[in-house]
Amino acid sequence: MRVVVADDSVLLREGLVHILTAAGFDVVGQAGTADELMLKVRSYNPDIAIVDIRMPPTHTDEGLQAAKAIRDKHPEVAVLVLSQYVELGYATELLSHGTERVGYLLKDRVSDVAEFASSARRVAGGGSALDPAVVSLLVGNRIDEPLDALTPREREVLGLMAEGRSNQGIATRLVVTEHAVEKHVRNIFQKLGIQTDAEDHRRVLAVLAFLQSGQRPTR
Amino acid sequence: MIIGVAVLAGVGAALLFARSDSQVDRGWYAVLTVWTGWSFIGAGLVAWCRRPDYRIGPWMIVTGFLWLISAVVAGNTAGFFTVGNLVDTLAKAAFVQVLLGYPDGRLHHWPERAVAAVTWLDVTVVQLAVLLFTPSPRNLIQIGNHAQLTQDLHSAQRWTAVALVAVALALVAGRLRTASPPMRRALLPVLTSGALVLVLLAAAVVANESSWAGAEQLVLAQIAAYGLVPYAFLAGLLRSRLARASVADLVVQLGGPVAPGSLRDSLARALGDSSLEVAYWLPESATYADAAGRPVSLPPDDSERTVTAVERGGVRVAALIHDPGLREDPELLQAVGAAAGLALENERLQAELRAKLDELRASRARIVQAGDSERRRLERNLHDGAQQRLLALSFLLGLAESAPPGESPAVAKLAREAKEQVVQAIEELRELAHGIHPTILTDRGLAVALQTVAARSPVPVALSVDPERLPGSIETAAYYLVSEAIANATKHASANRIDVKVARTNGKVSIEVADDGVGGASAAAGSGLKGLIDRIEALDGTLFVTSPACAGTTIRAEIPCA
Repeated sequence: MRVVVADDSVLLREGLVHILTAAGFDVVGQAGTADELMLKVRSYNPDIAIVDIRMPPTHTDEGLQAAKAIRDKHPEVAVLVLSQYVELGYATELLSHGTERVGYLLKDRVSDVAEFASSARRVAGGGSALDPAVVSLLVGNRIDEPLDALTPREREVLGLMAEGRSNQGIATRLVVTEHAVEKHVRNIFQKLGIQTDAEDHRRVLAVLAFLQSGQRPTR
Repeated sequence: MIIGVAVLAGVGAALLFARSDSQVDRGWYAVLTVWTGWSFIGAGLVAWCRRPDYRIGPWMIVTGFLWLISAVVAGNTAGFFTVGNLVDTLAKAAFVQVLLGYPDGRLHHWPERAVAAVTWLDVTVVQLAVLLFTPSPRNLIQIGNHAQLTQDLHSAQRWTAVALVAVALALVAGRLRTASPPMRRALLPVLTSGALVLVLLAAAVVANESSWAGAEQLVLAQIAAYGLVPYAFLAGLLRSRLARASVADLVVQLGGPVAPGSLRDSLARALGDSSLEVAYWLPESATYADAAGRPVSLPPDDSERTVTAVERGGVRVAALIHDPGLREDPELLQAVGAAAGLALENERLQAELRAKLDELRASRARIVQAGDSERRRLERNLHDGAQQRLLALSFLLGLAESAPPGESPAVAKLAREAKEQVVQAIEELRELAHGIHPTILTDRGLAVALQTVAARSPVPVALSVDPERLPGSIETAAYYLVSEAIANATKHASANRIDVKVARTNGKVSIEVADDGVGGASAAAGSGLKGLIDRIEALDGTLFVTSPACAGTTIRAEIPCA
C-alpha cells in the first residue's frame, strides 16, 4: 500500500515512516509543507496521504486545508489527518463532506503500531477513522439526552461505529460474536430513530450526523 | 525724540501756512494739516509701543511726517514751491501702504504689493513729470510749457489716486469677507474710515475737475477725514478696551459651577472665536491634552492657527489655540486667560487625570496582550519541542513493543510499559499546552473553540454562540471566561445544566454563562474570576456575577466592540 507522509518535524516524519514501513506500507513520498504534499500526491498518486494538521507557514491548519484539497481534487486518494489536540471543530470540518477515505486521529495513536496500521488500511480501503477521544466528546454529556435510552454496551457499540469500525472490528474489540454486534446495532438505530442500511460508511455518516446535531451551536 | 521732531515739524508747517500768501483758507489748512500729521505720528507711536513686532506703527509715523512735510508747498519762495510740489502727494501713497498693510504693516500678497508699487510710482515719477511741464515762475525745474498736457496729467494722476484707494479698499473688503469674526472686528473700523476718505477724495477730484465752488471745502473735509483714520486704526488695534464687557460676563459665568467641557464654550464666547480649542498642559509627559485627556499637538508656527499660552502663578496651565485675528487683541486674550485661570487649572487637573486613566487602561491592555502573545509563544515551544520529542519517543517504543517476540519477551513488556508512561506524559503535556493557548481559538474563532470546551464539560452545556469572528483580544477573554465559569459550575455548583450565550448587539459583545446549581458564588472569592475581571476590564468591559443562594449562578460580561 503506497503512502505519502507530511509533517514539518523531521523527527516525527521519520518516526512515522519507520512505523509505516515496519507495518508493511510502501512510503513513496515525504513532505514538510502543504505545497510539497500536494506536489507529491499529484506525482505519486498514493493510496493514502498521512498529514500533520499543523504545518508551515502559519502552523495552524495548513494540513487540514491540504487534506480538504486532496479530497476535492484527488478523491481516489485517502487522507488521514494527525493532530496534536482533540478538537471537535477540526474533526467535524474534515468529515463534513463524507466519511469515505478519511480519518482524524491523535498523534498518540501512532505508537499503537498495529491499531494505527489497521486504521490506516481501513481509511485507504474506503472507510473512516475517527479518534476515540473525539467520539467520546460526541457521545459524552449531551443536553438532549436521547442516548439515555441506550444501554452501556449499546453506547460502547455506538462509539465504535462512530470511530468507523465494521461489525467484525467491533466484535473483535468487544470480544463478542458478530451476530451479537448486529443485534446491538439494530437496537441502537431503532432507539435513536436512525434509518440506514448496513453499508459501513453510510452507517458512520448517519451516526455522526446524529451525534453532531447535539453539538452544534444552537444558533 | 520723534515727538520733539514732530512738534518742531508741526510748528514749522503752521508757520509756513501762516506766512503763506498763496493759500485761500490758510488757517484751516494749517490746523488740519498739523492735526492730521500729529494724529498719524501719535497713533503710530502708540501702535509701535503696543506692537513692536508690527511695521504698522513706523509706517503711520512716516505717513504723519509726510503730511507735515507736504506743508512745504505753502512756502513763498521758488525753492519751497518746487520741493513742496514734489513731496505734496507722498503722504497719500504712505496712506495707501498703511491701509493695505493693516494690521501688521506687511504686504502679504501680490495684488497688495502691486497696488502699493503703482501708488508710489504715481506720486513720485508721475508727480515729477507733471511738475516738469507746469508753467509757473516759481517752478525751478520747468523744462517746457504745456498747460494742457499738465492739466491732463494732473487729472489723470488724481483719478488714478481715486482708483488706487478704491482698489486698496476692495482688497481690505475682500479680506473682511473671508476673515474670521475676530479679524473682522479688527478690520471693520479701518474699512469704514478708509471708505470715508475715498468718498471725499473722489468728491474733491470731481469738484476740482468741474471747477465747483465748494471744491476747496471738500479738500479740507478730505484732509480732516485723513485725520480721523489714525484713530480708527488705533481703535482696531487696541479693541481690547471694548471687549471688557465680554470678560466681565466670563467672570460671572466662571463664578458659578462650570459643567465639564463647557469651559471651552465660555471662553469661545468671551473671545468671539467659535473655533477656539483649549489644550491643557500635562507637565509629567510635557505634552498637551484636550479636556477628555486625549493628546493634542499644537499647530506649527506658520499654520492658520495661533497659540497663546496661559500661565497661572508663572506655571504653564493651558494653551489657547485660536484664530490669528485674536493676536491683534493680546489684552483681551490676557484678560480672558487671567479670568479663566482657576477654571482652566481645574480642567487641566481633570484632563491630567483622564489622560492618566487612559494611559493606565492602555497599559493594562498591553500587559494582557503581552501575556497572550507570551502564551502563544510558550504553546508553540511546547508543541515544537517537548511534545514532538515525546511523540517520537513513543513511536520508537511502539516499534520496540511490536517487534517480533524474539530472544527476550521481558524487553517487549518493558517497552510497552515505557510507552504507556510516555503516552501519559504526552497527554498531560497536551492538556497543559492547550490550557496555555488553544490554537483553534485564533484559527477558527470562539464558536468552534467552545464546541470542544462544551463537549468536554462533565455537566451538559448548551451553546448559543454567534459564529461571527470577533477581535482576538475579545475572543480570548470570552474563551477563558466561559472555560473558567464552566469549571466553577462543575466544581462548586453541583449544576445539572449550563447555558452559554455569546452575542454581539448594539456595539458590545455580551457573554453569559448560567448554571442551575447551588449559587452563592462571588467574584471576590474565586481567584479564577478575579483574574478574568482584570482581563475584561482591560478591554473596557464589565463583569456581573448574579448568584443568589439556591438559585444558580449567572456570570455575565459585556465588552464594547464597535
